[in-house]
Amino acid sequence: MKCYQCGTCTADCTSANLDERGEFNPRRMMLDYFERGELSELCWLCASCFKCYRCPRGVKPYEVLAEMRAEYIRQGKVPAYVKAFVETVKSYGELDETAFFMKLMKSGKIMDPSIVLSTLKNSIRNGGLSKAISLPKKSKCAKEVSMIFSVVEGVSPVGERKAEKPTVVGVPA
Amino acid sequence: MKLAFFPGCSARSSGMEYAKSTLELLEKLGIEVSRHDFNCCGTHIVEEYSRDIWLALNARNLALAEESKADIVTTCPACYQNLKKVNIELQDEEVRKRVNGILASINREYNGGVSVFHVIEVLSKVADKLPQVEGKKVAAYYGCQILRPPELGVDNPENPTIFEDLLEKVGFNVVDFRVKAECCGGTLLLTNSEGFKKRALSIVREAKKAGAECIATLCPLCQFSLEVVQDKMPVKPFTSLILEHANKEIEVLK
Ligand code: SF4
Ligand code: SF4
Repeated sequence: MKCYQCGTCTADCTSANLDERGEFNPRRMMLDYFERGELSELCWLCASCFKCYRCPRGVKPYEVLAEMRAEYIRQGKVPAYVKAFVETVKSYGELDETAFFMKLMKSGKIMDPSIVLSTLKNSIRNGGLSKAISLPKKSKCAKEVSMIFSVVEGVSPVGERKAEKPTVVGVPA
Repeated sequence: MKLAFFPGCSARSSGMEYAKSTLELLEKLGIEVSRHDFNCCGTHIVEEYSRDIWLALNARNLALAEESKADIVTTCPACYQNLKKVNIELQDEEVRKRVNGILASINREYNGGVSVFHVIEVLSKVADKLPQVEGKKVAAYYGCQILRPPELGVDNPENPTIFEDLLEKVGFNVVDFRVKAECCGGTLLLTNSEGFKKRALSIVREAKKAGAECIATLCPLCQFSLEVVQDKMPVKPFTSLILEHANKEIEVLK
């Protein structure tokens, strides 16, 4: 396989450096994946910062982790925030933040209260109360966007038959 | 060159100020931009959910710009990256044909003729025309997606200078900022809130250590992250900073 286990990706990695327990380790996660096809739920904690682009073997670890997440989604194991994000875009055309957070709350996802509070304070400081508490609003493009979703999902409902499996750089040759 | 302004979803709420000040600055410079009925770029979330939907969403945006013979300029590095990435994929005729098959259902078509820019690229080209400001000490913060992966970035990710160059040209005193291209942690907001706070605060701390009076951002998510975790260090979109500190009228470009 392309990866020669040098650990550069993990030394540079934002999420690995934040994890004091040392569990988030892209080098090891990828090894398990390449050798035994094992998925690691930790892939959802990748910050998508692309620091691991420095891989001397051109492996693109961020793409391997993205492929792990796509595989989870194909298996129907979709995290609440992903579901809420996709559903919001599908029906609103854009990521309406109010609609998104309402969907998240409905799914039972608990937000860090200190972040919710400072977000609210911050919005009020920046744009007043109306910006902080605005009703969800569909964009003009919502109809066309929904159409794109139904055309593609009609062909391959997500979690069942996915339209196309992206090729991952770095899988064993 | 005609330009279509791509605000990105965050401009509806958390990134409102950045989008507004960018439009104001462009207008004052006489750089006309058209507005369109753009949709969400999908980000990597939709890309991982369904590649075809993600391709088609971005192709629709590119098609809209192409219909009015414009290139795209955006404030958001995530939108920039997604649009650029899909645009590269759609240069392949076979992929384009397949994606146009999806777009046919909404009567649209993309022929591959649009270029995608970030506003820092556009403003850097006209930096001489930008107003001079008072020499405030600022930290120029890039974050991730404007630089990495390199094939989708605006500058050398190991030693970027485009942002400092622009801020220095208009008169800011740009401090040496060690963590300028480190991640703000913003994408971890929903998955690892402790990590998010720790990360964002460490960026702010470094800016203070470097002697900055203010952090200049070019990404709505970085702006949100650094601002929401603290309120001592001012954090501002760079376009707002330029407008706020301009000490002469902005010359309209001829
Ligand atoms: S993209 Fe993910 S795996 Fe790569 S360095 Fe960033 S957090 Fe780590
Ligand atoms: S993926 Fe690349 S950087 Fe990471 S351990 Fe393997 S060879 Fe090294």
